[in-house]
Amino acid sequence: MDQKKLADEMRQIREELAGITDTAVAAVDGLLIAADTGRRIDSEGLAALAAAGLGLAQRTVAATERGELRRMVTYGSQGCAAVYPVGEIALLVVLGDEGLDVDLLHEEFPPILDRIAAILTDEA
Amino acid sequence: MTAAHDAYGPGALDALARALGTYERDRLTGTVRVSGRPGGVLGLRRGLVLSARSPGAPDLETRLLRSGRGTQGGIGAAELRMLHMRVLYDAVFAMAVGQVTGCAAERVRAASAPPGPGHFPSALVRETARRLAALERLPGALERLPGAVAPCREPLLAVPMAAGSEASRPGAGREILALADGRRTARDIAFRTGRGLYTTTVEATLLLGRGLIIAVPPGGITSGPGPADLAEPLLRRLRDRAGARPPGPAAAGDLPRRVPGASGRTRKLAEENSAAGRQGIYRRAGRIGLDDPG
Repeated sequence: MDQKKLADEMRQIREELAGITDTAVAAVDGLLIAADTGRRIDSEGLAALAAAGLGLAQRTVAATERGELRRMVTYGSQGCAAVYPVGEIALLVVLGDEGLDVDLLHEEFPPILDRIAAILTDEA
Repeated sequence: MTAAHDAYGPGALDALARALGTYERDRLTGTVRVSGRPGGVLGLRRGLVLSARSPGAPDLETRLLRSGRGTQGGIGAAELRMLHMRVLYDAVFAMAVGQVTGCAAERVRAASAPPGPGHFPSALVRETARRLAALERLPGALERLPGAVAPCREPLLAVPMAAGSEASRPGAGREILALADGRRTARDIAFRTGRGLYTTTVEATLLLGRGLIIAVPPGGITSGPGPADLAEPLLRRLRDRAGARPPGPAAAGDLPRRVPGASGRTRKLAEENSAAGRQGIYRRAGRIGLDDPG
């Protein structure tokens, strides 16, 4: 896995879409792989929370026969936290403020998730 | 317009002005989605602009909540109307200072358009052009090749000790210095403080001119990546596991399972509780049919 490539991709996500404040990539079992987060965010804790939340969401879609899990989004009064599965081995957390256009985020994310999955699974 | 803005969004305001002019002639009632960075959405009635929202500028709710005015016994109707107008102009400024790649209109029936006074597109465009020009005439913009702070693109970093020099002065400048951490843009700071994007951009450009903040070029600073040496073997293990699995849709059962008391610290507690607890869960699950095969 190319750490620099991953860091570049994550930084680009934050720079391209207005409203994204932080991102983190973690393994499905909650171990942090890379973080592009501000000082006030505990990135390791965020990775663990995201993995737990995504696991629960995955069980929920399976138990209710809703197909494949696309994402899990939690909304607060000052923004949102979206967690996307990256292939079957990892997840991507995106934190946004009130201005983030979540519909646009979901529209633009499939190719980004593919690119991150490719970086993570690249043996070179 | 300066070199940096030209490179990013040549004539964003021109594109916006052309589209709005067409909609005014057509007396369009509906919504216009402005694509680009940051882009936005305009609400129109008979060609006049009723509302504007952009991910680049705080909306009314954010302005009220973040500035604390929404919680201090509310605000008057006149002030609210005024703020609504400022938010609208601010959103158009956000779209114009960035990049506009296209506008797509969707007509709605007049009855479903929101009430309220409409703003003439020509007035909106004129005021936005004035703001863009005023920004470039600020001391901080004139001395710098790219001009004023690009509010949605350039992260700002307070120069060490700068906060101290501003500590005694109230207002936007001090807030910007406190929040300029090398990651946040003027846009991010506007959202945090509940101030307008234009006001924040002006203040940030002035601080830039006084040497109290610097604009970090895109891609300049990244926070440290995670523990790479730990991540690599972990990923290999997870890949192997994913590869060994028979093909098929991802099932919830493949997720890592946490066993109560696995750490050993809560073993005694787990032994006492697990049998009774699990029975309870299965009983409830049975009642709502979750464990019913097929």
